[in-house]
Amino acid sequence: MSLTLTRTTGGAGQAGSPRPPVVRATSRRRSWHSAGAVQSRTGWLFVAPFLILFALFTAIPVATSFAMSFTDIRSREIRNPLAVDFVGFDNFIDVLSDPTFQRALLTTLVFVALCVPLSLVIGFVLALALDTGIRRLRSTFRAVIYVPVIANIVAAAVIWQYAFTPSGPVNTAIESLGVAGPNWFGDPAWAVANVVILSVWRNIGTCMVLFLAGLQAVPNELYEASSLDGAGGLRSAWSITLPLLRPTTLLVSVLMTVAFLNIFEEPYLLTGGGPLGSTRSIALWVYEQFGFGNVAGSMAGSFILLLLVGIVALVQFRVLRPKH
Amino acid sequence: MHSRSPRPRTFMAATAGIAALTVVLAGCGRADAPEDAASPQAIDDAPATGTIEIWAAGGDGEQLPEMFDLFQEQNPDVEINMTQVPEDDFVAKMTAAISGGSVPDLVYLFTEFQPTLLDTGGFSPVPSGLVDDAAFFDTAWDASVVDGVAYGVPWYTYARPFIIRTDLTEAAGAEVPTDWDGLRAWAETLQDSGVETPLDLVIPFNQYTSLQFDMFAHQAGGGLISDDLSAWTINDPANVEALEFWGSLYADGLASPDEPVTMDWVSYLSSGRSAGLYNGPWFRGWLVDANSAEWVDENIALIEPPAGPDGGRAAQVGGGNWAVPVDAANPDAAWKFARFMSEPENQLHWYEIFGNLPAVESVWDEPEIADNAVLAPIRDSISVGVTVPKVPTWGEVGEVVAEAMERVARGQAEPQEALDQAQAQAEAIGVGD
Repeated sequence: MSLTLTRTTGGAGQAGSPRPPVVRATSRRRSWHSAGAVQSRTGWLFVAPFLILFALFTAIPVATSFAMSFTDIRSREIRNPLAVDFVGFDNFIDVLSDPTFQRALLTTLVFVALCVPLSLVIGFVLALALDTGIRRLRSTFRAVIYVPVIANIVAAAVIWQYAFTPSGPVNTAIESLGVAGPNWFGDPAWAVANVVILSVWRNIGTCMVLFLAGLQAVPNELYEASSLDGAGGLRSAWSITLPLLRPTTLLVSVLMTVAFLNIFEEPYLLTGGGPLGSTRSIALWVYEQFGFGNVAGSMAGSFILLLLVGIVALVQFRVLRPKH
Repeated sequence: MHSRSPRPRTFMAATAGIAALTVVLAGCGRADAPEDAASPQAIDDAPATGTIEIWAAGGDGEQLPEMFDLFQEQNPDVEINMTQVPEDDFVAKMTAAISGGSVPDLVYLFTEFQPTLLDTGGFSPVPSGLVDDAAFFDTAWDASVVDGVAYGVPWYTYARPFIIRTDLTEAAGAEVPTDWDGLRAWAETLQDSGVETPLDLVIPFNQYTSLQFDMFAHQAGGGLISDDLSAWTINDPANVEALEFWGSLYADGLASPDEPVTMDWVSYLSSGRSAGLYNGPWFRGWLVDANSAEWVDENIALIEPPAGPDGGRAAQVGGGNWAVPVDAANPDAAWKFARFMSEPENQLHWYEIFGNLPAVESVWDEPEIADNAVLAPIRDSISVGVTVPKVPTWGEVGEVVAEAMERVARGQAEPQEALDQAQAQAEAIGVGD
């Protein structure tokens, strides 16, 4: 998804830009030895390592699996993938009419709807607290909040599993308050909640760091000027902080939406998609189908996911792009 | 939002590329005749050389290096590298390796993995004359046979007994169960005596739960698939009867759909929070590690699984086979190691190391095994063994059945309705022919 991101933001100097605009505009009229042509070749040379890696590890596999999603390939043909029949859109129709996939789609959207706002709001509040409120030990707090991002998700999920068993420490703590603890892994709704808690815990650090960077880029003069004009804290937050944070908010919300649409590790490690399939995301569905030998179906499923991610990212860019 | 002009062109290029690929693919079609299996090459008796890359799943791998040492004493010019692959990911990782062509030289395929993985055509037939197929238990040898061709050399086999806390049973004044009624009465008595969830059945609900249910189904005279493997028989009346019994164990709180999870099996049985479960013979070794050999001898018994309502006996059998991928770099040495592992003295040695039972039938007559009273019920159970439905779509259907069972265990569906629905889904998936 980095490609969509960098291209549409038009950010200068980002690796995803296919070629520098300055070269593109004029290169045709230049001869081999002209300064422009040399510059163009140098430009290509610089982006070559990226282009080669991108082709090898992204473009070719994506194109191949896209092609496979229009065939009837099963695990029987994986050693000889050309010995398959072309079946048009059959796989996509099958996948979209599969109740398990529909359920996974819905589950994924529920994860996005819960996790993205939660991560954004908590991350923003923490960033605000670190930026203006907390003076002492600021860097310590920042590090502590960021630890879940770098923590090993497998280890975290194993500990989580133990902590949330019916008679585990979490429920023991809840019961000491005089309330019966929920059945975290047996009740579908609580299992979804559990996956949400783990994923949000894991992602607020990223949100916090990005918001913090955005907050620190807001010039202090604006606040000084507005306070001279008699604006209070809320007023300046509404009229200065939030508008100037728009690009950051866009970036964070797109990053988080893409991450949560692709959610895999948390349900895979924590619940295995259960109970009763209630936490099976699209990515997990795709992985399972591949394991079952349904290669074509899993490819079709992953393309539907890719399409969904693309559409959602596009919509977000439209809605949240800077207003001039 | 400047520089938007490159987009249409990039898009066109991408579309053109995909279109070209599609044309290439459309040009090819499914071959009418299946690819000829490579003719098995004879393996000589010369010492193995080169490097053998081995993939093994589960707990076996931890003890395997002892066998490598023995093999290397006889074959000094051989190197062995082993990678332990997590059991849950084995099929997906192996499938990916086969499609990429970068495969190990030798893999140990659990019985449960074989239907899906052998269907890829990614494994070589067992070279003729490598081993004597008549020496192995039929269930063990047949597990890797597809269309009359064997693709693996059996290593070990087992039946899953019912592992029971005899001390708690005696203390509660219960009878050791021999049939379903006895099992229920035993569980009720133990629960009255303070054992929280007397029965520990396989959770979370996955294809292993379905295999366990297949045992109950066979005890009732049913089974998940027809004998000739041509059709799913999931909503067979005998299966419904089995699921009614199985579901009632949950409904009455004698088993729990939430606890204990895999990693708690040993501790729950040791601490008396549960008092019985169906598991493999290696489980005894885990109990010895967690407690002591004396404790296990005094308090634990391995018995044949309680029989069904009309005396139907059945036990889950499993094990696995050594298999060599078609693209293996060193198949010669790989097959030699597989042959080495099937030699009677090494079969016995592995039993002594790990407690896994020989797949070679004659080794069961060795005094170490023949005189071991603990193993007698397991040997008896192998003769009534139920193995995994040997079709490539089992992995997927196993999950479908597991979900039906989970709905029953959680009281969300009636057995008949759940199995009818699973049957419909399984028919849509097919048997993979």
